[in-house]
Amino acid sequence: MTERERWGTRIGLVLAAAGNAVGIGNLLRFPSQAAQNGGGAFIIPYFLSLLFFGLPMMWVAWTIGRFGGQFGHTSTPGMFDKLWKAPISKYLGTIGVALPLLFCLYYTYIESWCLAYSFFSLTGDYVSTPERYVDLAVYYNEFLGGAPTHSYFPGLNAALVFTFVTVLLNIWVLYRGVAKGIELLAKIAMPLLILFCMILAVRVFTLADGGLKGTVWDGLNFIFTPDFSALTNWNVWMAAAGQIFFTLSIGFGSIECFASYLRENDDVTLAGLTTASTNEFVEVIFGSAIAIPAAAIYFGPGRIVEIASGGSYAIGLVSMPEILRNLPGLGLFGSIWFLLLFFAAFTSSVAVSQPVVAFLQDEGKLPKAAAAGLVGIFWLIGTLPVIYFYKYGVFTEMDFWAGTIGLVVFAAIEAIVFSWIFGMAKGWAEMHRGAQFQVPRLFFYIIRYVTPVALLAILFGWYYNAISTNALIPTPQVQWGVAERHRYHGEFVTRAPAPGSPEAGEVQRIQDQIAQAVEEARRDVTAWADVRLGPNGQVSVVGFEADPRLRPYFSSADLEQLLRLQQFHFEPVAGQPGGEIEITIPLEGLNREPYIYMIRVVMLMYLLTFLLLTRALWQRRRAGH
Amino acid sequence: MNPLAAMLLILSWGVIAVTTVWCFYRMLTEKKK
Repeated sequence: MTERERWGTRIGLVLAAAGNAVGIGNLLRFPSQAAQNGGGAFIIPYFLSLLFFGLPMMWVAWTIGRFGGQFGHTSTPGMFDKLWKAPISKYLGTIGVALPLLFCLYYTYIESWCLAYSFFSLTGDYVSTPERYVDLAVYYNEFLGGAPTHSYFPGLNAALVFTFVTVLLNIWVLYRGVAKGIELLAKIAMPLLILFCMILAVRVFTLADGGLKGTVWDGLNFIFTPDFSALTNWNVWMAAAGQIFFTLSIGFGSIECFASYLRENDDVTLAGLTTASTNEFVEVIFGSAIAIPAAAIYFGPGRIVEIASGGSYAIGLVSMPEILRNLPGLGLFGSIWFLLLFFAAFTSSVAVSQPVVAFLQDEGKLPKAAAAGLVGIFWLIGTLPVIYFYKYGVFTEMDFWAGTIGLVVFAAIEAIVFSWIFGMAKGWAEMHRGAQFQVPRLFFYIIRYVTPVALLAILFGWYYNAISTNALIPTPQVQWGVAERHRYHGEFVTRAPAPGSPEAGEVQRIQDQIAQAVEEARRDVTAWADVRLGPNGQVSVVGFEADPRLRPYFSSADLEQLLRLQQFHFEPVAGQPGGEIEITIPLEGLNREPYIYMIRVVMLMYLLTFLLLTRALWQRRRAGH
Repeated sequence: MNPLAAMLLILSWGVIAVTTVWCFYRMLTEKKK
């Protein structure tokens, strides 16, 4: 047997583990999730999740990993097989291989946005010029493939190129191995990331007095004001628990994989606590001190929720470029900032995909190059639907199943196998062998009783909520935009009517009609309208064309009504002439159903592939090969 | 700033910062058993 891979240095392991945990989740997903789930309301379930699931599962994962590593297992199927002598255990462990790969399929896309924005910062692509006004929200949405317009990007070529480069870089590091690849990357990327976080946080905090729309304190107030009524909302609990798993990289099998390269008596308790606290340091301190305060300063505190609802990462990728393009030295600071954000994501995606490579390498006995290459093929193919069908919600669907629900399911299985089947007393002793830090005895009972029960309760609550609200049935989505957006120097503003008002009901009725047309046609339907906007908020549709299947349900009068009810108007930037303008509005009714079911089938196929692979490998082993 | 929010902010930032510094101190100074 060849010598197993090991970590080069102790500090290398700590930085790699921190690099694994610190990623986009900290700086982009955390503030977005907080904003979407009611700001301060989110913080309480978030911290409780950290205490009751995050920290306990961190220690459990490190312990299981080091334990499995003693038997030469570097991925969870083999580890579970050693923890529980039942045939099903290795199949349960297989979730810890399929899930990280599924996660990587869409996470790479976010990672590639950071790489792309770094390049765009360097070239100044999102800086407005007299000939080309850049609306960053539209720019972002078009780049991703989520908009009905093509003002800044003619298609998905840019997104595809940056994603392929990102996947190839990941595969290259995986091919180089643990010490020469992952550890070396973490040693370079992590200190630089922290340094640039500090520079940016200081910059945001010194921006408060510039006659802007809000202050740093508005942003911090938004995040930290607790709303106790949210504690009864299961969705907020699911989002908080999901964020804890996502950010700590728990329920992925990556911590287990990292810990498997430790020696028998190496510490795991202090290493686990250091990983979690470093992650929380970046997330709660830098995550709350940069993106949301920046959004509050530039867009005003009232618009935080609206900006966040544009997508999980909109705050980071719309407000950050907004600050950066208003500061001197965009090319330097902008590209370095996004490049470092990319590196944060890079260290995480490499770590999360390592269990898959390790599984093929150590259980499948494939050479490292073949294992990395095979993962690369799965990865590239699986990323394509995420890019091409982004606007149908494929990305969000994967984030929901793989990045939120899947992690909680796997963690619940892991908690039960560790504390109830392997045995808590045995597990506690295993955890403390060679420990540099004594975990408070209270956590013995938390891991044994609270963590598994709370995880199961959250899953049950989510299931009940999803079933009662039909949230799992994909519905058509309506979206519209302004064509040739770059020609209009200013903001197109819409104000959603107050929920429950007759106006809100009327907007809903018009949207439901479009949805009905989509459901009857069983495909996307589109409409184009020429709209004249007056200086005092007048709206008149002067030209209208619609898909024949849409026409019986949606007329030019409906569009005019829709725009008026949302107080749609144009606000030119200072120094630009006002007056009447004529714009073209493309509208799409998207038939999401086939794409959502397709990606659910794809996810199940990935899981099934790994289950069959596990079965075949164990059969081969039993046959004595 | 809302006093409750300020308290939550100081408490969470403080606890996390102190824990992180303590962890790295222990990790870098203590010899392996």
